[in-house]
Amino acid sequence: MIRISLPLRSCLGLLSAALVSSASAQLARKEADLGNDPAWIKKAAAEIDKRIGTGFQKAKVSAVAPADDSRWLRRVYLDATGRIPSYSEAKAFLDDSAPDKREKLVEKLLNSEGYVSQMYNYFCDLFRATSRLGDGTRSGVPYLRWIRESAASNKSWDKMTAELLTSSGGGWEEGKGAVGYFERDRGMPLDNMANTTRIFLGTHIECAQCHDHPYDKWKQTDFYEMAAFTHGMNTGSGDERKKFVNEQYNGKNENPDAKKREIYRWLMDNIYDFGVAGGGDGVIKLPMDFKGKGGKPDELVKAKSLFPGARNGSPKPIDDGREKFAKWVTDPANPRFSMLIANRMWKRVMGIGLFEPVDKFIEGTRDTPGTVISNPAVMDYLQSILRESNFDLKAFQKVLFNTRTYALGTNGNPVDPRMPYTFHGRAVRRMNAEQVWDSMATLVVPDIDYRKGNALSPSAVVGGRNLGRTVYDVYKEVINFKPAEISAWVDKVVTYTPATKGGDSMMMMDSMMSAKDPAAASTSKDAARWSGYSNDLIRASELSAPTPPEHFLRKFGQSSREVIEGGSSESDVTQILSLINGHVEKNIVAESKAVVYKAIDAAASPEDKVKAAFLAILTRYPTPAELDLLLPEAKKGREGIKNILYALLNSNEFIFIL
Amino acid sequence: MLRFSLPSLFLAASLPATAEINFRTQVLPVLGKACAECHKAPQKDSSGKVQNPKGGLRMDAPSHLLKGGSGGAGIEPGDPDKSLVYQRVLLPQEHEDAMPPKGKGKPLTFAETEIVKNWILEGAKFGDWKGSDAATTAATAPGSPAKRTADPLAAGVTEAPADVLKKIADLGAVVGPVSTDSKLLRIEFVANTSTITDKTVDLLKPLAGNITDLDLSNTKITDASMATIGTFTKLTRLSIGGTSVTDAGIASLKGLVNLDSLNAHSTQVSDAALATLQSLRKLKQVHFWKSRVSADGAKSLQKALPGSSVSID
Amino acid sequence: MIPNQPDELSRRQLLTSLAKSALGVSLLPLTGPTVAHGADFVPNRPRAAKSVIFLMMSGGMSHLDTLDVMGKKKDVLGKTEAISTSATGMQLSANLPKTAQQMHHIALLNGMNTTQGAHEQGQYLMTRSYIMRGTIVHPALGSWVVRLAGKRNSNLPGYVAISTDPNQAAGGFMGAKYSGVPIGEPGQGLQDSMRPNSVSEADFEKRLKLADSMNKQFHTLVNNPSIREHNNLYSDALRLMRCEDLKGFDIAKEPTEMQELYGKSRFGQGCLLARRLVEHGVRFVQVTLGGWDTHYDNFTAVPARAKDLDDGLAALLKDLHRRGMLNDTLVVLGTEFGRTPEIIGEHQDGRDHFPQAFSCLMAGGGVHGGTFYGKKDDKGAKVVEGLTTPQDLNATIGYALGLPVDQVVVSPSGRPFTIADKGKPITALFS
Repeated sequence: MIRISLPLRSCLGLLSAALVSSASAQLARKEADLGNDPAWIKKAAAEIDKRIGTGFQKAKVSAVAPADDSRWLRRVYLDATGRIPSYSEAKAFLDDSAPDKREKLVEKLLNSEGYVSQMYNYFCDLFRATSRLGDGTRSGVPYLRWIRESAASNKSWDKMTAELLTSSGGGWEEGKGAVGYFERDRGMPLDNMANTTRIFLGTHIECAQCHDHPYDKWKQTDFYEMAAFTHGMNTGSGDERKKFVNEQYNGKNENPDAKKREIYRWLMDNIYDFGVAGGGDGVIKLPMDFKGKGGKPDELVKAKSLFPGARNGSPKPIDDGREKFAKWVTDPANPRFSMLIANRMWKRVMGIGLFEPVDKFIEGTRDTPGTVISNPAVMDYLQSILRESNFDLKAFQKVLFNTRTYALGTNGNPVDPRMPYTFHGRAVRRMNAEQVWDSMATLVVPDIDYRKGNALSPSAVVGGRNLGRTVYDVYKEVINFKPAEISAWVDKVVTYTPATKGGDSMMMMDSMMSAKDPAAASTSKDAARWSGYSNDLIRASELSAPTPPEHFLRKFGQSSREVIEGGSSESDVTQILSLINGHVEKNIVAESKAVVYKAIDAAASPEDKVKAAFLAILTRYPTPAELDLLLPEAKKGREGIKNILYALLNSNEFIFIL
Repeated sequence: MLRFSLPSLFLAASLPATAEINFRTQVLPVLGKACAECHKAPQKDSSGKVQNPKGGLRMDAPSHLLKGGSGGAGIEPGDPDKSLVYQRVLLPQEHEDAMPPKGKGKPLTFAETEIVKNWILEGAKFGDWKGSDAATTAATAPGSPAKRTADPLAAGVTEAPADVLKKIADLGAVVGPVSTDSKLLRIEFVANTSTITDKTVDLLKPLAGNITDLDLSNTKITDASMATIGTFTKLTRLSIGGTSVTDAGIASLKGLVNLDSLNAHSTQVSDAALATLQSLRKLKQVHFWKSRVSADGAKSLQKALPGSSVSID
Repeated sequence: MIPNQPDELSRRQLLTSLAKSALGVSLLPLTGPTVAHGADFVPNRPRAAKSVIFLMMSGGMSHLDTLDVMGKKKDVLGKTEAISTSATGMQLSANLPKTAQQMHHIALLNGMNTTQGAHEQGQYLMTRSYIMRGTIVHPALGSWVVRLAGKRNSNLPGYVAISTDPNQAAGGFMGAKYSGVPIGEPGQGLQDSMRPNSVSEADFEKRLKLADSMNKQFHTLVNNPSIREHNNLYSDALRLMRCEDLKGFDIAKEPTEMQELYGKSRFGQGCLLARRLVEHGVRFVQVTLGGWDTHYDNFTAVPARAKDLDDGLAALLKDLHRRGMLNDTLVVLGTEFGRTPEIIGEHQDGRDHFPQAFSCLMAGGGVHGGTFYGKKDDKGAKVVEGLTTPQDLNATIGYALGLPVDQVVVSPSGRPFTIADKGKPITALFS
């Protein structure tokens, strides 16, 4: 290992500036677009490096030598866009001799579709967003669309949080998809509250739902005081339309026609039955089996935040409990709020949190040390720049990607994430499920990031008949219907027969206003570019999620999204079976149209073919020994090339991020 | 409420003789959980005051239970109606004499009261449980794996040599005691069965005094192994289904007087083997599906071994 | 296995990595490094069952039209009739004629009662012993069994879930390595366990050799235990592909008459696969039969479902018995709840959800056959004797296997759980 020292002194002058900016951050909550201010990014990155460097001195560790261009390139693509660079992307970067090519690449990647894709996956795991809700009949699409839109527009974290906690109305309405946060936990508002404190504040109070917390300080009353904020809110709420549709397929006055009932049920599950009403009562009754201290069963308690800040003084129900709660959670003065998201984003970029698990922070007491932050000076600074940038997550990540800490080489030693880490080298990690899937798809499909699926804009399929339009189109059409219009619509649909090939019986729908769905799948013009490629080879973010159990993604640990960040990067034998007998051979190596073959075919000599394969799959050129090993195969033509691809895809280097 | 009915089609097929309720494993956990806290020897509490057992009833030894407390006999063997312990736990929770008293513990479930009742009906035998009557008492906490009554078969069995056990486990076998605290072994060859041969069975020789349950189904063993197995005198269960064992192999088992279950389906065993089996008086279950044993042969063996089930289908 | 220790994944991984690097051997079984081989497990009672086949009737099986017809009033039975069985004095619904002939193996659990009246929640409680929560995923029963008892055959997964919703077979906080390995179509076997047709044996060997050479060089550069652990799994995968026990997944190896005995339905073939897997030492197999949600037209829908159930279940019991496997194999039939005694005329004689009272069954695994435990009133509406909760049922399964049902496993988030929550085993079912 080569020792380097970070420029500790060069930035000393910035320290005071940073402190000033941190102190004045709250005052400076202005519309400044710091994320697009190169000087601010540079300054912040240098300050982080300085504080990390101080950490090395304290812990008496030396940094690992910086990563070379290849390694940094592969790492930044995977971290920022969720996939490896394609052959041409890798070649372009490595051939570029500009001194600022890394900054430029970070800028480019953070503004790419790939960035949106991976942030979307991340938020979906965090917010447990799924394509289907409940027992699998109800659509969860509006929630997914809101998450996608939030990731694409780089919505600030405090705004996202507030929308999740306070949104009311029907989920399909413009900008209202955030109601999915509560819809997702319909009938389980208490569990939802436990998740909220964990996601946004890093406090685990789920134990206190049933009894006083055995290890932490939380009492059962604390839990209910928090739950009081959102209590009384109604999931699955709706207006006269929902009531009407519900009656039509369910209950005493149901429609006698089974086919019509099926259509009503479909409207219910896909359009009307997705909404939240009620602003939060601010009071709640303790449960019948309450057994904690400081309260009695059935006693009414008033809303009170876990840490000082928000409360409802009145024993009478109010209607803005959720507003009060959200305001308290997202207040820049709430240290937990900025600390949690800072730690989460740090982990996303740096691989390990400043404390772990990233969503569990326990304050120390006289008897217990509490959570140890591995570098408190860095944590303080991260919080300050988050507040300064008004919780702009893209700007925040841009800072981190531009640090020299991020660009250090690999620390191959086992790192126990629960022990404080100095970040003196990048810890090794297996790709997560989405990264494996998306990286493999990159080898086959051109412009993979732009190839859209219809997970966010599903076709309207009612009773097995495809209406030839999307659910979004149907929503646009029916959302303001009066009951009589709904039944007229159902009467029309019940007689609808799907168009025969390209036929003009695209029916009644043609005459109706055709809505332009911003999230709709690729247009037919695009489709030509991807014709001949398997429809399933799209990015994980474009597939309905979670995928079925036998799917490659699930085998590799895609979250079922039942719990917060439920994904896993542990290896097991079923994964190896897909690597040696399944997906790799069937969908990648055997796909003769794969873009990776174009790059290899374009290379003239067997040596250059091996080099192209290495660059496309491992983002680096082969060593002389590797060249010797693989040349005999390259000389055999296509069959030998296939063996090379398969071997590289089954190499440990492919699936581990260095 | 457990009710038994006799199978009508398969005479005595597969219905084992009803075992007696075991006090230690079935009754004690119930009483321990519901009663022991208040009905034990007089104790000094933290303030130094002596706490006498409630109602004068101690339940921590057979003699105390039989004697009872101020209300009468705690247990009257054979008569649940006169056994106070059973009567009190039956009372509805609202009743002032109901046990455990309200707030002191959950009422017994129906299944639990049935166990107590049937145990009393069977004569309220305490087995080897001495409670505080014995000089030293092993506490049996409710829920913990209870100690079993002494198994006569286990008498004199010595610890199996660990190196042999490891050697066999390395072949993919499941090897271990038949239950906790037993030195008798269960050995099951279920993985890689085509690699399990007479040589493998030779490896078991040092365990001859330990093996009580042996599964060699679908392995490549022959009659040669049966000669070895014939020396496993503690053997109670043997499975050789799907092997090439013949009547000659069965003949080697004549010394296995403890054998109660033999699975020889899909073998070449025929009626000629039945004479040997008839002499194994403890045999209760025999499986001959797809062997060469005839229906009449199976019937005659079943007749010769009272309470047994010999099936060919 | 370290009992009663917080199940911190990272720590465990670290320890196993270290242990392995010290020993220089790979002992990894199919689903990962910590699923112990059964050799470590000692049942706490002699002659405990070795494996479980759990048949899940998804949708809420109508008890009155299947298992609980004895002494029931005509008006609640509707068109369903009672028939006598191989156990004197016991009856079953005429929808289950073949099962009736196996009644001497079966104990009916007629006192079932649950608190959950919705499908998802009811199935969750039945298969996991806990109420569904949004903050944690409790492990499936099969995950618990493999966690506590280990595997019987280290070549094969400990838990296989056939035609089963993955959410029902998930290892929850125990992690993916304890999840049931899913089999969608029983005839298709274990996914990706065969070399693809497009690759010759020679090329397959060559490819793996090339990858291996690459990896050897790579390990000299980056010497990391999780990478080596991942790499070691390749030998396990190849061992699995080449081991003879893989044929346990292949029902095509069964003679035609055997396939016919179980019925040609997916459920029947699933039962056949379950028997094969247990014969090869798989610890826990779940087979799901859906379609029991008979709100509409109950008296057409139930006989259709019951036909598949009857073929599969009766064949399974008969086959296990004649192979001498029934004493070692506990067969359980579960469902999330029952259905209303009232027959709803306006829904073409349908029945709605009914959590108050329903029926399950157990057979084999040391259970007394030809018996019943628990009783409902003559309307099948209320449990009057032997009330049994899903937790009690799961505790009974644990008891049958000789498992420590009170053993606490702590989730990574530090919460304590047991296999059957506070359920109590029905020990009276056993000898």
